[in-house]
Amino acid sequence: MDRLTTSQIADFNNPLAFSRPREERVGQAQIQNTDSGSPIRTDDIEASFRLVTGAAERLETLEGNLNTMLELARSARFARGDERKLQETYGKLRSLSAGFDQVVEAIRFSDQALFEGETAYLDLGSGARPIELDVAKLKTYGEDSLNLSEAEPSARASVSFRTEDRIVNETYDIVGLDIDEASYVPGANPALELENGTYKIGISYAGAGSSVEIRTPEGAVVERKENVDLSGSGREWVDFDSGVRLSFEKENFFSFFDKFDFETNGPAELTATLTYERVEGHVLRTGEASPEDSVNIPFSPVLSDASGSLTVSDPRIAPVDVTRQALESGFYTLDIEYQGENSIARLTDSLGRLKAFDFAIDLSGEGSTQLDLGVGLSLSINKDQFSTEGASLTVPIDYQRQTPPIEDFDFREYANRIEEAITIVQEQRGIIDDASERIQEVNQLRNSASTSGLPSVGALNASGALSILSGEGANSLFSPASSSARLDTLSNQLFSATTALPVQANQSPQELASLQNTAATNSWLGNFA
Amino acid sequence: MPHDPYSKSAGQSRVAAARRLLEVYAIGTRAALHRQPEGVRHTLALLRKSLDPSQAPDIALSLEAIYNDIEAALEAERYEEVARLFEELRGLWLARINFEDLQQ
Repeated sequence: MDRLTTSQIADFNNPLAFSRPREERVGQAQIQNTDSGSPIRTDDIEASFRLVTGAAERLETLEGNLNTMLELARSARFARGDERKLQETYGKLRSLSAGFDQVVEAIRFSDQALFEGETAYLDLGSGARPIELDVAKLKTYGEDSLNLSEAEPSARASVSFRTEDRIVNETYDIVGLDIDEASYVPGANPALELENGTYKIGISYAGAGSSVEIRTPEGAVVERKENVDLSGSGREWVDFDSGVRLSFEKENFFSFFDKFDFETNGPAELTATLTYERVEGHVLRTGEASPEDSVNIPFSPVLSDASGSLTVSDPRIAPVDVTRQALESGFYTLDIEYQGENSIARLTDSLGRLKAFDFAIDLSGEGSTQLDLGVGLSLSINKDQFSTEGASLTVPIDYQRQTPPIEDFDFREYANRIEEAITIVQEQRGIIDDASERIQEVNQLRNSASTSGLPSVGALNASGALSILSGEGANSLFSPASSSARLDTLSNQLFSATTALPVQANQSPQELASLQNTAATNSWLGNFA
Repeated sequence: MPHDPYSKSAGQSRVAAARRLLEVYAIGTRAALHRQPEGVRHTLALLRKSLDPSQAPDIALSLEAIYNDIEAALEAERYEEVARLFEELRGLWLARINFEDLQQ
């Protein structure tokens, strides 16, 4: 594989790159996979021979692909400290392993994938027991697989404004509000996950008391979020329980009203189109998966005075502002200095380094105030009659983020796994070769016992070996590029083989005459008559 | 051994089989050039029927893959490509036959 450019490396390492379509809701996949259907059975000895011949060819390709991956994984040893090179190698391994799965998926018999870990029954004709072929599961992900990748539920979500949205939105002269992206949030309620398709986003803009809802194209409300603060400037994220996060960009240009004069004219009813596609992420990971994102306050201190108290609650992982650096996993300390409408929050790490701050928190009112520091952490500050200015509340925070798999990827361990996978593929090749020999033995025995002497029973015909295992149509990374490439391969084979003509020069004079007759009947035989 | 009647017969049989094979490809080319899908299908059917992978499975698989290409080109009515592929196959076999003749 050629050297990748920086943008290619970014594309190859995009979490959604090489993802596969997913039909089931999150968590439903395993229930579906246990329903394996009926095993593969061939109808006659010739189909059995074609199946094993085609499978042997494919396994050789797969072993070659694994060897390429092994070389790559080993080459990472010489790239220690070279972050770009490591990212490039990781991206290539992702690409190759995803291509490997495409090839395995494309090896099918009667529209059933062959290498799925099920026993296949190869018919040997009457008088012989069928061969029970123990086929391994050769996918890189899933249970009892080659264990070279993991499948993680994910989704592609995007927002667009179609003509009908534009027409509706232009009736309101709203300025300074935009949905700049939609994304999938892991850990949402799987039962509520959206189906694949398009939806409408309805925004009822009323400043800090806006609401946002997802509707089906027919208008039925799927989920609604009330009291979304779309006032002022900055960014606002709305997380739906169905697993969709919408990111609003807001900018207040006017002094008379905020974006739209909803107090005079009523709420502005805006729409956008959401496209949702369930996918399964293709993840290469060594070792255990890092823990899920979590944030908690180990103990909740209370700042009290004679009249009331100040506490914090509901710590949450929040989206990171584009201009800020995300917090790393670790222990942090949040200091809240009460100064009424100009209260101050400072977040420091375990070494005392300032990580985030907010110098203008309005705590003058009673009740709960949302604090989002823009670095991936938000929480609520609860004030109950507290009034002592200058007093500070110190809150410990345990903040854990899931690290991207590439950060702790062990190329040496992955190379070991590839070696194990190569062994499995080699074992499969042995099993397939044994089956092929057995089929040919049975056929020879039958032919030697035959007294008919008909030439058609002499040799098994593996014609269509590849088409019977319909991998040829797969648009995989490994399938031969073109018929020219195949002609080149054939040319090499023809001139390196000791026996070539008997492969194809088996037309009887009668068969040729029949073909010539067809040609003559249709008057295009011409020069060949 | 030029006077061995078995060897002579075998040689003649080989030459005749080779001639028939080249003619089948030539008919396939002509059918494609005349845009006769039935003729191309008949040629392909005969070639597939007479393919014997037990002699050299790798060559048989390559030929089968190219026949699939021809079939796909035929379905897409790319007759020039069909003719070209038949002609290239004929050329490769002709070269192989000449190569065997030289060795003998």
